[in-house]
Amino acid sequence: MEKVISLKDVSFGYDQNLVLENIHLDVFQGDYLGIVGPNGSAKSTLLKLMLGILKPQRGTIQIFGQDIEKFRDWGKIGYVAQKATSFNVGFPATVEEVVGGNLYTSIGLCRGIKRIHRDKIHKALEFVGMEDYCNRLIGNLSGGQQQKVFIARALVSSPQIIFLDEPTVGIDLKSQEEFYRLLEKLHKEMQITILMVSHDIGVITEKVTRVACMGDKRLITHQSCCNIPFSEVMAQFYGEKMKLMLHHHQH
Amino acid sequence: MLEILQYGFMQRALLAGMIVGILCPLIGIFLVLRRMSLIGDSLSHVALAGVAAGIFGGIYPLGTALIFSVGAALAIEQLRKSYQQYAELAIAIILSAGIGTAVVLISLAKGFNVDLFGYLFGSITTVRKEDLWLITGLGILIVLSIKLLYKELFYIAFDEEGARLAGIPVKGINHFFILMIATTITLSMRIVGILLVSSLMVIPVATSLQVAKSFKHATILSVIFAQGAVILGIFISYYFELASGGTIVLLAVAILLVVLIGKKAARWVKGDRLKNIH
Repeated sequence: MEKVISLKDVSFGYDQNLVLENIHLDVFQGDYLGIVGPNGSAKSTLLKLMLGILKPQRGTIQIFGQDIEKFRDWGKIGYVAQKATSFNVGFPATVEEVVGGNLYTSIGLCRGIKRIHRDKIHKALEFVGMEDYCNRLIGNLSGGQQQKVFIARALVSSPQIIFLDEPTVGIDLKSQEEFYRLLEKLHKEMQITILMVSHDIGVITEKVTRVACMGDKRLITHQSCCNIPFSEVMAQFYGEKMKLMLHHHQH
Repeated sequence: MLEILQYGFMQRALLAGMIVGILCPLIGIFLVLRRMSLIGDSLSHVALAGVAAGIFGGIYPLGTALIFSVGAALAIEQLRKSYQQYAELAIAIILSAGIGTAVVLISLAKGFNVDLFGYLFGSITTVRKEDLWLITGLGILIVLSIKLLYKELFYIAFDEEGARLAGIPVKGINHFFILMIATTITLSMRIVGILLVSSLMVIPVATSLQVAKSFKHATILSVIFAQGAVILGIFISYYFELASGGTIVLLAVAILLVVLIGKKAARWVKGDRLKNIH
């Protein structure tokens, strides 16, 4: 399978204190990778390094075989930030305007949105079940609906990889279930590679195909969720008292 | 033909006012939504120092004001990098430096004179031919730039990190945008005055945010509200011999109040109707 992301010997720290040390990670086309770990284990930092928002102090990061500093094909990447839904709710933007923002690479600098782009926006909104909300102000939607709009925004440029940073924070359980179903659809129907940071270990282990456990400045990946020696890994990263209880979200 | 339009200086004032009434809200909507409203105030105080330098040195004051405010705009961008966690500090530093320089230059020029008052509070009767050429030329350039960079500026205002990851050259556009702010402030000084220019950037936008149904709608409405205030303000200030800047800004506030009251009344009527149905 084609390697889409590669981290080699990556170290990163804030003010001389390393939070990640000698990280190695390969992500392959079609992976559905969950990144878990306790608070402060630099999960979001790792995602930001892969996206080029932060620069590593040591090591190399490649995306589609290109160094992240030189990577310009942003249309291949979709990103849903941790604080995606904590934007200024008074911002007078419609759902269509927000989703269209990510079409920059296909529209180009100094050019306006055309019919072909509008069709793409409507298609992305249809995929997440939000086509009827096209002309609604984004600030007037519920947290779950806003999250779907941000997924549509990440999808609109037809990306090959989607990065999600704690995407279900502040969203009710019903919307979370819908959200995970949507991700599964993206992964299975559209063969999109998904990297998702989450603190919800139970859900992650149920949904993803690979898990990366982070803690103590390190990262350990597991090829299959079913075979992870969880009690061992959890005790190592979360402490001895940590117990993993898997459950379905059908409360 | 109306009496007011028979005079060349009033024709110039009206034309310059209408251009300013387009520029201020067009820049203002991005400033307000990026929570950068204070930049307008800061740069206008630096422009005052530029005007004082021009008057003191016998150079065209709008030209020196433009140089000062563009320099200050670039300095704000540099300072924002040094104080990343305190973005407003860069604005406060430049505002203080601007006032300090202005006061020193005014004292060197042995106090205020009539021309300086015109720049401070706006004076429609003093719009010269060269002012109108400068306002028209740079005004067209700014409107065209905003039209071309509309989607980029919108995305940066909504989500700067998201815009960067969508491939938008955020750094370059931010630098260009701050130059457009500085230029708009300088061009608007003649009509609304240095002390009130940022009001014309903010108030019509605040009014439009009350009723807008999309970003595009908010942009169009803020230009309409600003135009209303400027045109009516110039007429009123001419007939009642009032300072144009103050009149225009007070009218913009009046429009805001009308919209706020109208919105409340509409909600009240709607609520009343719903009560009757139940």
